[in-house]
Amino acid sequence: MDLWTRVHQVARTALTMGCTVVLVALAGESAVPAPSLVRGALIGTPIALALPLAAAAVLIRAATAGPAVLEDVAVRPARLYGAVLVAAACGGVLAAGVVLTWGGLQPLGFAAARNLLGLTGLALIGNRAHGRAAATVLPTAYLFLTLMVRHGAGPMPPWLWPLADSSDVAAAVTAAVAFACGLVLHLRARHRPGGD
Amino acid sequence: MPLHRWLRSAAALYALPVMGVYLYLLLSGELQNIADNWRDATVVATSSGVMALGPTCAAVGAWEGARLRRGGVLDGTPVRRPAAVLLWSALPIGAAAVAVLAFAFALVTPEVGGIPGAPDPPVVAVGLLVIGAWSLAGVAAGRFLHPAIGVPLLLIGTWLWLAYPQALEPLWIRHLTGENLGTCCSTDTVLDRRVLWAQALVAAAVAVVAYLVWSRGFRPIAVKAAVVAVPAAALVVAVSLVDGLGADSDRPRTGGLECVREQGVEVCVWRERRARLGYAARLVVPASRRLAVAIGMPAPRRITEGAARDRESWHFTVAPQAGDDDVVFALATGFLPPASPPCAKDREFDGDAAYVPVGTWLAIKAGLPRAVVAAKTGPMENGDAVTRVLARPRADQIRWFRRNLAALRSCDIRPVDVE
Amino acid sequence: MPISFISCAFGYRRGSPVFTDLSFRLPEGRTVLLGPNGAGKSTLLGLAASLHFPSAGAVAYKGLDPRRRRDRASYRRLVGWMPQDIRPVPGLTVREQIGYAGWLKGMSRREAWRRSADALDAVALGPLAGRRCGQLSGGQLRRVGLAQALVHDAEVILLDEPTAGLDPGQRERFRQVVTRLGGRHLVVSTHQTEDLGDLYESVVVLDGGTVKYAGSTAEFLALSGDRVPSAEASYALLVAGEA
Repeated sequence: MDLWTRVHQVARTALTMGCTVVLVALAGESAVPAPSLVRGALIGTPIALALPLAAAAVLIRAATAGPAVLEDVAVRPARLYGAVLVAAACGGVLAAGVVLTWGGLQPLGFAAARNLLGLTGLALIGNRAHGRAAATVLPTAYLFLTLMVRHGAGPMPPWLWPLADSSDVAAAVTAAVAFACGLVLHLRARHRPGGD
Repeated sequence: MPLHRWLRSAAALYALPVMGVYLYLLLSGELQNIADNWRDATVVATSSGVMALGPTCAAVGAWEGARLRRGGVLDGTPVRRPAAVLLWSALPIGAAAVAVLAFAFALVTPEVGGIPGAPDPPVVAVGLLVIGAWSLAGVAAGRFLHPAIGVPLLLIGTWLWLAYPQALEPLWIRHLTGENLGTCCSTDTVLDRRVLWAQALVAAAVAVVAYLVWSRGFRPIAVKAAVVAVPAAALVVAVSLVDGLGADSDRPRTGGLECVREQGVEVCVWRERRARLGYAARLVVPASRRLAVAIGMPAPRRITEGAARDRESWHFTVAPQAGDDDVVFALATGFLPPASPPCAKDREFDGDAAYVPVGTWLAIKAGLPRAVVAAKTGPMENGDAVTRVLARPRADQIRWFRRNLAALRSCDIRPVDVE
Repeated sequence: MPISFISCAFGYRRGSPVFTDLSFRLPEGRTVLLGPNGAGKSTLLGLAASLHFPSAGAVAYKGLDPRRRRDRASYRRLVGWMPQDIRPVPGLTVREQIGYAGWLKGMSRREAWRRSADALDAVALGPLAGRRCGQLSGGQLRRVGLAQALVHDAEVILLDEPTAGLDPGQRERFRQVVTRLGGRHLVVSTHQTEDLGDLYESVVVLDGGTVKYAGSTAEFLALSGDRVPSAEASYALLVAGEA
């Protein structure tokens, strides 16, 4: 198992998740101006909500690392191990996010963790659709699309979940659904010719 | 190899529509705000281009670099130098960037089409340099980063570098990115060239580091040192250029006036407004004479949109779409200081109370009907200050004007009779 | 009881099938799989290894169908496979990569580590056990791939181009490894036919997704009709489009 943790970069993933939590906490409500098509203006976008994209990229890379041809004919449930890694990493960040938000340290803590869940789910879906090299194209494009079509502060429709605040239940449910779909597709995936 | 073969597999070709749409989203809301000069139009177009193309080209570069690595291109002992391989690999990205930037200029041109001038070449060149540098950085990063990590990292990282500094202090950081805050210059200001030099230095450093990393990898000590030293040196020089600049990167314009003599008075407007020069001259010369009598000063020999450098020069502006009243009003209020004195930041300053009354009085003395002035400055009641002052003898009015004009410029002088 | 293909259909892309109705049984013992590039050899081995599942029909060994979840682990435990493309796993040494392959095949960590040493010796890579896989030459990497297929004592071993990139001494070593694999079924896909008669009991020739020949090596060589049997001549007779 220790070889599996090395092959799948578990230590690096854990470090990245930890750093993400710290950066989210430090970012506070700092915002970066991003264009909104609907408002026709630049709207501040909390950095804490965009940071999880990098963490999702590291996580999907770790989950899909390793010799695909060997793992796809393995006796041991290699895909299940990858799914457990993803779930554990996201679960850890989710717990930290809850602590940050309920503890009053970072109102967007839970929202950032929710985004990690949802973006990782999209990355898993992208991995199934386009292979591991292009896995992060889908969550990246989705995040940028939501930035461009948002109105600003106020209630968000569920499909703009990456930009919702921590108290938005519909956003949390949507992200969770994306995560669940991604995990299921990952577990049911077949070997993809060409590897990377 | 035929060019279409080269392009067929280039990711930039497939990203081109995305870049175009993103640019349109950024630019479309800014078109109606472009000032009547090509400098502002150029900055608006290139700023949107840098913002739309910088992150996307960097991400596309990361994909291309990874593609070359997976294909073993760099392990094949090529005859061509690493720089040539890098530049050819980035060529489709550069071509896409040029195409999208041309699209940006196609959008802004109708807004400034009838105005003399052309896109500002240094601004365009620096914009392309910034985009090119980040594209090369992406290709170099793609050599070492898996595309699942490299693509989002370059996209988000570049976007943060271009967009976030606007919200940061010290203020000079925002002048280093190449984004230029999305806008630049009214017709009487120009972009400070130090900003362009600073952006070019930073972009060149990024490009140099990208080339070194691409060609040598990270292992050699010299490369590791260069990765730190080159950007550091560029930043030191760049910061020295832009340190002291405030929130904006423009400075007063000194050249580009066109002049005509009207009844012995030289009237000058910015060349972008030369179509209205004769019209403006016929309005401001008689108005200036009326004002001169009212304020007890000699009539001016020169009335200019530029800086009024001596007592015989007066300042005015001919804004686009300005009518007769607007031009005369601008002449009259040209006496008013554009901002509060520096001491007002630290001390109590009462002079602001004189601003509207003095401006109103000047406009009336320049020959504008009271109703027109009231529409610009607010209704005038029978008991208000301006009405009372207008009823006084001329000498009293001149004293009132001079005292309150001085109060607008000094924290030590209190305005009188302005309530 | 070798691996059977029962009315198998498979394609990587819709509209481009590799096999349409393959019904065929891999011979027992040591078998060489021949065929031109693109004939479907690697795909056949991939199906046998349960890397791919047929879109129609079934693959079976000892009554186990890897498409059924309950049979999958048991099937894979019995089948070892060396793919055509061997990639070094970043960060692992040679022995660790082989041990990892053994662990993936259900061996305990301790057993996988112990058996990895045996597999390394079998392919003469013992002195390189501690080297990073990323530092190996192409031929050395292929030997790692071979060791990965041997580490877990499978009953059926599928090798895709195992001797590509090996020098003559290493190919001789490979012949010794093959000879020592008593009691196991071996299927080797290769383009090297010089020692066909000495090494393999059966020959399968594949072309365009169709089995052109499946039988004993002696009969295959006799196809050429020459006084001196020639594998190349027999092959040429069987494969479409060749003189």
